[in-house]
Amino acid sequence: MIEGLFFIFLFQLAGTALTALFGLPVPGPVIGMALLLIWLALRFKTPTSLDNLCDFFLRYLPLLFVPAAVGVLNYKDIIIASGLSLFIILIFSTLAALLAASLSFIWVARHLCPPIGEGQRKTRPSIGGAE
Amino acid sequence: MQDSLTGFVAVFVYLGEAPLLWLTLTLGAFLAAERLYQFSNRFALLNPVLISSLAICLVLYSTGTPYDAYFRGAQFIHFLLGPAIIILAVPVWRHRAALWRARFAVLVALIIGGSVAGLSAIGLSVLFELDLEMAASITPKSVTAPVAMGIAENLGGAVSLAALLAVLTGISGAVLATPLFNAFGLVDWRGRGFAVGVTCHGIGTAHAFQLSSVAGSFATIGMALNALFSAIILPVLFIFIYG
Repeated sequence: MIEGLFFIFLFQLAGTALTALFGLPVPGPVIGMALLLIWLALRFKTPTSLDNLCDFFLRYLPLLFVPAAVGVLNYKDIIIASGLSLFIILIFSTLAALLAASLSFIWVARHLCPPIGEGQRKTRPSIGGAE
Repeated sequence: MQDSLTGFVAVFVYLGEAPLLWLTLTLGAFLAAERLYQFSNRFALLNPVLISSLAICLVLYSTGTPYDAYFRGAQFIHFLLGPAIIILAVPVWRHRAALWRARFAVLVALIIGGSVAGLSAIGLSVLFELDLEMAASITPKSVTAPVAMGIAENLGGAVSLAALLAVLTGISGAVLATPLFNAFGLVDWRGRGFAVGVTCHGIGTAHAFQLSSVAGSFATIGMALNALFSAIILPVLFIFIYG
């Protein structure tokens, strides 16, 4: 657990440092993720400590967005003033983008790259009541 | 009665100053919202992030607690977002073969999905006659919040509004994606996941991981690639249409 956390913080630190150093337009954690991916590729095996921590984080990933989402509270006035048009734009744009991305992906995939045998590389995270 | 009420309020005010109350409330609200979601057989509108955030907003609003006071407690959860993004490299590595195999689909869907997300936001902003600041804030809504803030600032938008709209887009995608894909009969977890990542970044990716780890890994890639793609393409599109 601590070893896994150490690796994660180390890569986040490295990513954040690189972003600050070169003024990259991408946030530090995203660079850190890329660095970890490169490290995993060089090592060719995920340390057990990271594997265990990963499943825990994935299980509760949605929770981590709650504090940011509660930030809506700071924008009561904007939401009351022009919330409806923003809401409509947001919903329709999201629907359009979801459809465009998924349909184009599936269309290309069907012609060029069918999925690997179902279930082969599927490790589902536990859902509900497994803790 | 009056005395016990003022006593209760005094204790509440005392606890409200410390981070523990809001930290506990956040965890409790999320666990309860998740129970409700499972109990309702995963009814899309009862998405745990949506319901728990709304419930917490309601508590804060009715007790007159400012967001900053709440965040003093909730920051401990918020902090874990950074490490959580780092660790997404692990599932991506696990599914590397599937991702590499789908690389052409990934590329095409990134270009089409990322462009549609930006263009539709700009187009609808024109249609609804939003002012430039508002339009610039909503344009990068399909990009992960930290990057969206940077893009919005470049275009002349409001940074914090851009972050808010990005978060709301993430939640709306987590609510809408599954019913939408089911309605269109899309069964390929790779495409479903990737689309959610491109369109609804972190919150969409978190949702995808709850359904399938293949979908989650493709969503992670979609989120990361769209952060790069949008940072390059959105300023061009925006100035072309709005400028």
